[in-house]
Amino acid sequence: MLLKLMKHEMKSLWHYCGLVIICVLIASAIFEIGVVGVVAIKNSVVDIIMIPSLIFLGFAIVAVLAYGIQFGVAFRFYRTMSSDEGYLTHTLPVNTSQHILSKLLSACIYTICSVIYLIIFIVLTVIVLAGVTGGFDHFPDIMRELKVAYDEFKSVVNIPIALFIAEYTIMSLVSVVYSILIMYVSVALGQLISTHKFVWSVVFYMIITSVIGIITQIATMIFTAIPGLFAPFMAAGENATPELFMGATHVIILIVTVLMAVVGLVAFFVTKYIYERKLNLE
Amino acid sequence: MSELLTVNAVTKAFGRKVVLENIHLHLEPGRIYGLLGPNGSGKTTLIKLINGLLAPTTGEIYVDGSGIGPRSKSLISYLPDKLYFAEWMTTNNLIDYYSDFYEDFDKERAYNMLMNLNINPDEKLKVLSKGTKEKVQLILVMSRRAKLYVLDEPIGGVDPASRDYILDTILSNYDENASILISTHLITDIERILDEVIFLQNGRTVLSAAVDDIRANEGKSVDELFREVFRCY
Repeated sequence: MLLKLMKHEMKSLWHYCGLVIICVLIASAIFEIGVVGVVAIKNSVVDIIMIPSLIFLGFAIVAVLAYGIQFGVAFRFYRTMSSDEGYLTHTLPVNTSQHILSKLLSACIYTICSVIYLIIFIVLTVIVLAGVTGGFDHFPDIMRELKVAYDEFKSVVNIPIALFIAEYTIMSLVSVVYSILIMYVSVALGQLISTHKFVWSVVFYMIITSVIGIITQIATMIFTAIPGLFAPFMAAGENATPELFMGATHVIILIVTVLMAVVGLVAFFVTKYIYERKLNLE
Repeated sequence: MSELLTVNAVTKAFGRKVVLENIHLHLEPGRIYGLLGPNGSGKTTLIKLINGLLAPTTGEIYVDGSGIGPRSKSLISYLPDKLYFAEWMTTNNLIDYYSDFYEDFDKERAYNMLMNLNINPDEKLKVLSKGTKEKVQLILVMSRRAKLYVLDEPIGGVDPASRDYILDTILSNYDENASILISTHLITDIERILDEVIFLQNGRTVLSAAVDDIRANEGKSVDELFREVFRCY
């Protein structure tokens, strides 16, 4: 049943996010053509107009894709779980966990794909720039520089590099799941109010993220005071060695990952509880 | 006879306001029940409880021996009193959706009914009139071979000419062993199809009787009895 739910969820999410994705694809093509054009034309007047425009477009692509997908995911969740469409959702012969899970996994796939797309977009831009400026001639030099940087990084990081990348990837994945679950719990809380449920969902989202932000600040202050964790790094200040810096980063990644996982789990179960016990369809 | 739906001492309160109080219902297979009552009597709340859209404050509900959950939802075909499909979907999308989730969904039956009503399944719901959308909802609900159909105001929003078609659709598309629970204000229109009636008033059951018994014992139609019981002074 989970796969069936996901199949329909993926299709429906396209309805909510498709326009954003198509716009981003078109804007990306315009951006790449613009980059080629600026390098090829080499006209100072064109540069004055085009370069700021391209920088703006580049940022707009990243922002629209990131926020557009997030908004689409949140709005889709609201429509199917808290609005009249909920009559169909909540009378399907599946349990609430499956509903949330199917929506979460589908939303994760969309979010991860958008991140992968942005990476491809940046790499493509670099390749296009290298192509039109003759940067490929320096490719061996660049690779050599990268190798030196990698060796330096490896010598500084006390843990195996593959483990470090794995930790960072896991933290990023947990962060995607966490951010979606925070949106879901906000929508679940918003539906408890009888009117303007989506507006209330946004209000709850702002409250929750602000509270988490404040708690994180307080926790950081406490943690940095604990000997053996970050205290040596903090004490070293500007003179902190790369070893100390990487050691602190390693610990931060682990703590942040665990905390996001815990808060995400709490958000999941609160969402589940609200939709099971406090469903408030009009 | 085994019970299809058991509502046992169910009370539902929203905060301090008690909407349903100590409701007992026992529905048997193969019968059509009318859930009747004035506005605010608790009909829709009871129906939402039966469909798992609300949780009772106290009491239990069983459908074919199972508590409210995925199994009970697979046995009930529910028509809410409002439009609840996404406007961007086509009827074809909805038929795929229903057939994916309900094993008892009969696609052929759905397409036959759509054809009889000249509804194009390729059209998006947003281009259909409100009445046509309601018919699509009813067709999808009645295309299931469910054990219990729960219909909340199925004829409330349609013109009198369509009411007969809808009632005929309901009557000709449910299995002998299935039961129907219909909530409506339009008693005269549905009286002819009812086997039993349940009168709700202020969240309490004030009458639960067979239609034939009412006619024999009271010498009145259900509509006449309803007007007498719920008279506004």
